[in-house]
Amino acid sequence: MRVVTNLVALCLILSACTTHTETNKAAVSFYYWRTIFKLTANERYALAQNGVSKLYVRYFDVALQKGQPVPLSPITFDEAPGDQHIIPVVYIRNEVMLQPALDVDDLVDKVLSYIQQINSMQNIVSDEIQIDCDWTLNSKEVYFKFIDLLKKKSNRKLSATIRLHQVKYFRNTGVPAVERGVLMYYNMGRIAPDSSNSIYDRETAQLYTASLKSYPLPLDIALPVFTWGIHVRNNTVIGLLNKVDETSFQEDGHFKMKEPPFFEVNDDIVKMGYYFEKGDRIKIESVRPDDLEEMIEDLSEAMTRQPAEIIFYDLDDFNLKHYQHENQFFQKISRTL
Amino acid sequence: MRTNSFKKLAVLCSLVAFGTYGILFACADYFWGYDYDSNFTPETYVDESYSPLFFAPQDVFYSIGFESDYTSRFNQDVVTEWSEYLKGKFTTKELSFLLLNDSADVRVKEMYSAVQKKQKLPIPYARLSGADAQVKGFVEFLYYAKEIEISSTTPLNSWNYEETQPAPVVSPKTIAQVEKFYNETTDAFLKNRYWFQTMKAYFYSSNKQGLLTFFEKTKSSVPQNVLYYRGLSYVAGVYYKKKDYATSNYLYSVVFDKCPALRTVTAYNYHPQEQKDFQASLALAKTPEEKSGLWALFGYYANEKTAIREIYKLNPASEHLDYLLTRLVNKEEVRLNDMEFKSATAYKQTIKEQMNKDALQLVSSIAKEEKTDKPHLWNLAAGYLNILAGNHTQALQLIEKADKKGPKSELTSNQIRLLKLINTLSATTKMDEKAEGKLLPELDWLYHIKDTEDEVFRYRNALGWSKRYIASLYAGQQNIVFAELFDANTTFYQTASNAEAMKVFLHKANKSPWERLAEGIYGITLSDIYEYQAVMSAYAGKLDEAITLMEQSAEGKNVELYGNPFNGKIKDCHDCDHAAPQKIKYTKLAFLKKMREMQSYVDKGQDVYNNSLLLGNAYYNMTYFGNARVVYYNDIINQYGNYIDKYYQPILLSCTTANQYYEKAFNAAANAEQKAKCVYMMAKCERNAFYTKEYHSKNDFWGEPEVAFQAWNGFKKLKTEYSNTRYYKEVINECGYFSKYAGN
Repeated sequence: MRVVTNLVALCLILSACTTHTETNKAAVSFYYWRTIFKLTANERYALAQNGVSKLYVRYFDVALQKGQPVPLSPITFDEAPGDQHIIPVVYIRNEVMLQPALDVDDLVDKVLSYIQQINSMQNIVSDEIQIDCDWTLNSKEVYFKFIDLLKKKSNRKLSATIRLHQVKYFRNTGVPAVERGVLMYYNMGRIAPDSSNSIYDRETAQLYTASLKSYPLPLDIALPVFTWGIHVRNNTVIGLLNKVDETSFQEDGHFKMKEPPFFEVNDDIVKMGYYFEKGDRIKIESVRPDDLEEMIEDLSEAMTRQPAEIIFYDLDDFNLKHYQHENQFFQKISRTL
Repeated sequence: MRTNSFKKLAVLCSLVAFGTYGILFACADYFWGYDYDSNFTPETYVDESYSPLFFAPQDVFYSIGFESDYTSRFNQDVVTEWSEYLKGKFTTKELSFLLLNDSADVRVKEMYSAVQKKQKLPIPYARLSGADAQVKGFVEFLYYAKEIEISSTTPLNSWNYEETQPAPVVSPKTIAQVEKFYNETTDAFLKNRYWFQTMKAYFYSSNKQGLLTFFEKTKSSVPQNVLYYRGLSYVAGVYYKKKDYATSNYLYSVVFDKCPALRTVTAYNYHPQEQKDFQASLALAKTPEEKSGLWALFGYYANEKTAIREIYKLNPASEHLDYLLTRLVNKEEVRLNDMEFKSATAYKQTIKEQMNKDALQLVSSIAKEEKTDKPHLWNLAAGYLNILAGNHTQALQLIEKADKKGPKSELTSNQIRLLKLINTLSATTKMDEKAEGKLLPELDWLYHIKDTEDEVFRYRNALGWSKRYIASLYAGQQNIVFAELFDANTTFYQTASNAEAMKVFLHKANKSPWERLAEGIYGITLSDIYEYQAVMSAYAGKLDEAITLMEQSAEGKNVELYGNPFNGKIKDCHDCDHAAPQKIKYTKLAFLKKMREMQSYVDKGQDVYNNSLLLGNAYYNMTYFGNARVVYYNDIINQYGNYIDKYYQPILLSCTTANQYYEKAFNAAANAEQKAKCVYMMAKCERNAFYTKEYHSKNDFWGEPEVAFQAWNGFKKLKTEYSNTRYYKEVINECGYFSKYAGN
């Protein structure tokens, strides 16, 4: 039997609203999420074109193994980051924060030391750390303690990713004590076999954007620029096809786009390391340039404070090719916010 | 049953969009165990070496999750082999330390140095002579094996970043040394091991081509043992690096076919990129066995039916067929067992229509031919698929055949019994004494199976399905009580006559064994029903009836409330009320009796103000917003959380009754202080009605409502008419909202 007792507050003081005074335009930056740091010529060109000077680089994940937090898939630098200012990003699985025996103090030391080891090897100086964790009601207390200790021990600026539901229900989910949050404006829906788009859906987004005005933390925005395929069999999602888009199937006779966004498989086939069976469907989920413009338009209406940055997820040749119709595209749309 | 995996959403929860193809499978919030949708335990007859490859849509590998034995898989074998070779010169403990423990490196170097300098071996091995050919051979081998190992193992998940960086490659000098040992030694045991070390050294060097050359030169003279196939895996790995997927996959399939210990790892590494790769691999396969190996992996990655057909043509006795068959059956049943159903007839019809006829035909025909190595497994599978197809006589024959011919164990007898039960029940279209008599011992067994941690037997789907199936038959026969007993429905007690019918059944003395079985699996007790009825009567204001019913609830009547249910505070704070000292702790029954006492005073016109106000508070506290939610905590009502079910919203979220008593108190109030209090309490009710309308009744309600402020009528009245009361000042002090409204 689950017994829930809680405080129904009749009397809470409303927080004061801040006014919109900033006039500077949002800067453009990117997330770098591959495990080996090496930029292609095209990626460098995109950074230069769009005046990007800051990269948010995923350094490592933290997960549990045998009940202990461990770093997973740490980044390896095949080349020095050059002129780019690097912000280490650490993704911490919520399971870590839910581990009853977690030594938070020790974890903070380990995370900081690990970041420092990577930085020293590459002579990187970072004045900020970003933490990515989809904390829940059950883990918020530990997560916030982690953030507080990290702040104290790192003596650096801290930012944290914030999911849409954490904005809407912030009075319950809480607000981490960081300098700024980064609103993840994507992955808003379920990965489903129907025609919905799990990456971005305006209607879903609008269920949450009204709450942005009262969110107490300054927010930057993370926008999606990735594309993937959803592999569907018997109306059930059976896999996620990374880095595929329509062109991956258009020229192949085994696939036919009968009704966008679905390709249908005509015959059993092994392709790109995946097996497709006759009758399977592949849904391409992507974010078009005009979707990005729409997101920025909606966000600029919904937010009272202008974000300092828009961070695109993620920097990769495969993703960039979908936005090369216009020079400086990322910079241009960011300026409209 | 294995249900210990706890899997968290891996894709949607993170910025991480990287996921491999497999990651999505690990996306379920919780993992309920392999048998929540399966009746067919693959372990029953299939060799253990295939176990990780059993169907496990939520895992990369069945049961183990991920392959994690890369560095330890052969530890025991290595120690045993050396122990036999050295004929007891080293103890097993010493060998384990020297061969397997990283901290032995220093000791090994000392021993090697002593052997080279023809000195005494260091303690504790001083008893041994370095001149002994076997001891010398072992020490030299250890020295080089340890050196190569540095390059072959990178500690994962270490908080030391440097350690996780790629290890240095094996030097040409070391390769030359071990290759020289291989060429020169005449000891077959050592030669075999130096061959493997040379292969390994090349693989972890920058000279991958050297490995291919060495392998080509030596392959015909190497015994085809586990070391050979481990070496062959390195060859496959080099071809993979060269992007020659056809050769790589072909070689992995050979290892898969011949070396059971490496099945999981080769299945993981085998990975055709395009269709042409698979065709090319097939062209490289020389024998039916090799072709079977390739198809066995194709079946794992792609299509079990095609693989079974092809392997069966090549070699009907192939062992690979076994695991492919279990995957085919598990896939098929998981798809079908997911189905919701209300009527047994409709269920059977849909299953029959939706089941894969190809699979049924393929499995039945192979079972019939009896050419496979394990005809009992094929009979069992064909029996099960025939149950799904509605061919119950045939199904029974096949299952009995499997039972007769197959090996015997607790698991096989459980599996056979379960499928027979499912067959019997599936064939049942009417619940009567005959059916009940037939099913009773079987269901009694099924419903009382004891869970053990490592048990693999899959029975839970049958547990739930059998109840739903029987309930649907009873429902079709208008036997509402038995339909409810077998498959409880949340709306059952919302019809008063249902509750009465269930009470009659539960009160019945001398129940039959079948009735006792049904009662035993039902989660609701007589006490719950009386409590439910009492609580519903109380909300309806029928206190006498509520008391009579509550008195009959053996457990419910004694449940204590957390706080004083007659409190009426300015701030609603449950935790504060629960923690506050209480002279009287009210049970549910005592609470109702006290309410009735107050009601009788109100009815008689005695101290109407106080009694009405306290009754108002009592009815207020009984709602979701009050401090006595425990009143409605009951397994039939089942509203323990923040979201209140639509049916119960008008009951548990409504402050109408409370408000009526506050009005009554207001009308009976003797002074402004008393009136101010009533007015404020009515404002609370008004606010709750607003919360209910705006938040709680919405389908996307999640947690507590966001605090919204309105100028409640009660606030207006308090400000305009009672601003000179002491209570007004108390409210100003305690309630920021009101303070804000009042302009303070």
